[in-house]
Amino acid sequence: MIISNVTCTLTNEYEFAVAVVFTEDTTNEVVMTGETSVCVETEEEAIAYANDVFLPDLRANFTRKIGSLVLPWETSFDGGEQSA
Amino acid sequence: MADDIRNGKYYDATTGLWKDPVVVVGDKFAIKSAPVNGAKTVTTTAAEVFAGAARLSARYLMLIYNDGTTPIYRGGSGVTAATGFPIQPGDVAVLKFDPAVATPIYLIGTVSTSIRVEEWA
Repeated sequence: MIISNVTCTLTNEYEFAVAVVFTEDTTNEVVMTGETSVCVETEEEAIAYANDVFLPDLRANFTRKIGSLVLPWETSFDGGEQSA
Repeated sequence: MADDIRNGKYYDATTGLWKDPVVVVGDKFAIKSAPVNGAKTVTTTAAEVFAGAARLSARYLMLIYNDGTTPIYRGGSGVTAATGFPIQPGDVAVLKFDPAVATPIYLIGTVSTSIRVEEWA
């Protein structure tokens, strides 16, 4: 499974550089990296942008590399009863 | 003596010398490798746009297609929907770059909007 690590760096008064590293959780091998810039006021907003927009877009565009990435706000379905 | 061209040489009236003319070979904006394509989401937060996982190094061309139903707006850092240059639904923005100068472009929308991006380097 792929895991992500997001870091944000303030680059301007209202701009953060967002960097993400995707690694394989069993081997710690770096599978892919990404970086972007987002115009927000706080680091929390930058992280939220990364988790809500940047990472989902990357997962959709690079399904073969990071298709198994589970985002923080997603929950994996592990079976159990299903409603009728 | 006025500037003249004889026998394949160019006369530089300023210096009084016959010089070889400049010959341009190749085109730095010609296709040298396959483009990078991507489907991205423009939101109400201004953010940099590119096709892949990061801005394509030495890119000379970027195409942005608005695949949504509302305009999106492009500009520099801090662009807003009130100040940005609009890209209407169904329209394509063609942006030429100096490959030697890394220049980020930012997009923002009034709602979340799907776009397609293509970069050439």
